[in-house]
Amino acid sequence: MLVAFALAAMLPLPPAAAQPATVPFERPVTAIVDGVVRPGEYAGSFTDPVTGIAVSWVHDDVNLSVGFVSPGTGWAGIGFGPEGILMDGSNIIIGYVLGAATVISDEYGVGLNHIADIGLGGRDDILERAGSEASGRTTLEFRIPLDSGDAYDIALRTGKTFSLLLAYHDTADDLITLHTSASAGSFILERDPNRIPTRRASLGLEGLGEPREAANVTLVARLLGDDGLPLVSAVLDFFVNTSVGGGFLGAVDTDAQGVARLNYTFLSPGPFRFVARFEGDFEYVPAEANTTLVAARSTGPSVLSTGDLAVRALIFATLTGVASVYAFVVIQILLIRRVGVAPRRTRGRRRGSKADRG
Amino acid sequence: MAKIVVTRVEKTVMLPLVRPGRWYWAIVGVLAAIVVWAAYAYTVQLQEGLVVTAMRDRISWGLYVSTFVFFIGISHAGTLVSAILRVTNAEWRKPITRLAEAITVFALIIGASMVIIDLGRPDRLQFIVQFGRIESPILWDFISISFYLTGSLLYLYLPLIPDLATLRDKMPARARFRRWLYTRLAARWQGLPEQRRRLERSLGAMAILIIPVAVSVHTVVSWIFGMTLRVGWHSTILGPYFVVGAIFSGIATLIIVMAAVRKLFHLEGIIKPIHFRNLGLMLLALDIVLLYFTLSEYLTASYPGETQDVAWLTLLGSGQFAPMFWWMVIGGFIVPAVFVAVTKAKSVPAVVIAAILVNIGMWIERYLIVVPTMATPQTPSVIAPYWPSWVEWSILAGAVAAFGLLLLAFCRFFPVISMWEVAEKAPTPLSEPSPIPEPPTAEVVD
Repeated sequence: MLVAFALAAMLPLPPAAAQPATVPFERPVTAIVDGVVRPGEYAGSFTDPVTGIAVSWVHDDVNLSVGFVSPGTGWAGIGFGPEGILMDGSNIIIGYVLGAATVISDEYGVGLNHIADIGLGGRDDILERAGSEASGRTTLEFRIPLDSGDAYDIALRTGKTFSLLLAYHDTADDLITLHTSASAGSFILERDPNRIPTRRASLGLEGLGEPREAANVTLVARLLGDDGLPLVSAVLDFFVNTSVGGGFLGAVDTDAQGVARLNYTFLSPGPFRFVARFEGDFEYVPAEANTTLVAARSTGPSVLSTGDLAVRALIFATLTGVASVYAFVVIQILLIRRVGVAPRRTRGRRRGSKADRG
Repeated sequence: MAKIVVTRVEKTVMLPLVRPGRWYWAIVGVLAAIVVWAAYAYTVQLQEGLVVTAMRDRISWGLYVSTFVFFIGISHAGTLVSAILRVTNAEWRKPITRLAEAITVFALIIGASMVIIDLGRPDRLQFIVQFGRIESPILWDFISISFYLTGSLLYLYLPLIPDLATLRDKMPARARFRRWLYTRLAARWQGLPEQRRRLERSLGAMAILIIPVAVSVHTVVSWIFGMTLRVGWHSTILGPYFVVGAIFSGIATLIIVMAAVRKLFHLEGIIKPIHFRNLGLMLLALDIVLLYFTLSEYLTASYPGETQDVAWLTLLGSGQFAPMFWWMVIGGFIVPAVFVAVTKAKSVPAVVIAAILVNIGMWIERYLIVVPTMATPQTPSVIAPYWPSWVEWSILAGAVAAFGLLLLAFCRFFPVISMWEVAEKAPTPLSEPSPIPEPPTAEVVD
């Protein structure tokens, strides 16, 4: 096992981490993978202030092309991982130049180690690779697919933030010696401004758990592509409908099954309409799903129900008293009406009635 | 066969029912136009949601709830003038009780509507019944307002019965619909001793009952605020403070409506300066009581110097709400008191102007109860902004117009003066019997 990146996870994030670096979109890509990074060859570039590694990169919505120059003659590496995670689960491209030979390997972060994809049963998905050494600096260039389909490569999507690892060694031309310097940051792939998404994803939403006042339910949203496969690492926004519009509950990434979960606590009984929304990406148009859950009244103790039945009785008695007076008045009105017909009855239908006698 | 005899009071009171005049229709037209505009604004709110208002998460109660409290307040006019004065057997009340009772009913209807409008989703009104909790002051309010509205309708209807019978018997024959209506509503009233006894008994019961019901309504409205741990609301004085303010604004509204109806329908011979004087003096007394409550409320809040209290009072005294606050104190409380005191309430215009100022001041007072408290942050934060949107202002204008429209519609169909009670005061005809403007040709009385 190789541990060159091992301590990278323990490093403090560099200042650049606060603002993700952007990988520009360009089509066609003019960068040539030949081991030399020329000025203007890549649409985007920056120099990491911690390690001194100069990174140049560009993507065309299909492949990512990278050239990076380390301030040493030993190994150099770059890693792309899920946001907020450093080595574990990252796609790591690491290599060195030894004489006329250039070694560049497609590896996968496992804990604080990294292992070649091939060694894990995956593939080496580097499409093109080249390297050179000059003036005490090492230049490595490579081109990889944004989404290789390999389980040991991370699928890079436009508009989404990923973590970025950079490390190198001054002199060691191998893949095992601990780095001289390393840093961590983040990056985002610029969207193709001309690309119009056309695919339609299907989004389902349901609530797991018994909807009840003061109890939790788990809102489960499942996002599938038009091919029936789950859309992984997509951001789903959850809302609860309110009188003033959608109340935002939170944003959750879909997992490997295309599922995002969010817990919600009912603050009161009644129906609640929940909405899950996928804002779309460079392929898919936005999708939305909703479900209505009716929270039952809590059976728990309340201020009045358990401790003070007398108060309830008092309220009931008061209301009954008022209603009784109202009823009395209504009866009086009916009697006024009845008295009013008495003379007619005397002359007609009901001779000798009580009203007549009165 | 005999000719219908119409007394001078009956003639004066029934004339607006037959011939309300051009001004009546002009005012109805203006008010109806405002109501239509407000209805349009409400449809916008129904379509877009409450987002078209200025209310947001920080200030979720604004103009609608302020107006709700205001209208519930003026609904106390009927309680005080009709019920309390009836219980104390104040004879001078008789010509103005009907108006007071009508104000109560229509103010309650408009006030309750404001809550439904404030809901944003009126279809959720059923949830109050379906999911309401007895621990919630909102449910208390729903119950007490429902009971008050029911009681007020009964209390408006009971003394109407003898007058409806008069209308049934003396309306022109060609007014078929009205005669049919009055016949249905008059409960076959013939003025029999048994009927009178039952009517007096019902009125006595309702007059006594409606007073605590009315007091409970505005107390419960105050508890909606007072039961929360919010600065400016969580106060034991809030219940009586609301009730006094309610009666205060109720009397002011009654004075304004009396003046308008008196002028519009030429009732100067029945609604006399003495009524304005007596109500003006009551207005002055309540003004002083309310000033005392106001001083007590704000002094108690300011003296301990609690951070939130200071922030709230600063908002009112010298912050963004200061112009409204000082307008309320000076224009709504002090100036009207001076007006009435200096003229000793003998000048009808002075009393009416004082009443108008009082009502403007009381609406502002309701606004200042609701909004500044919600604007005051509970945690360290900035003052929440709020200024009502055009939709809210439109609906407020519509509410006031609808209130006026309901009153005018009432005046068109029912006598605004309790003819039989006024006649009891002067049992003989006030002048030689004379036919009403369009006398029936075939109808006679036995």
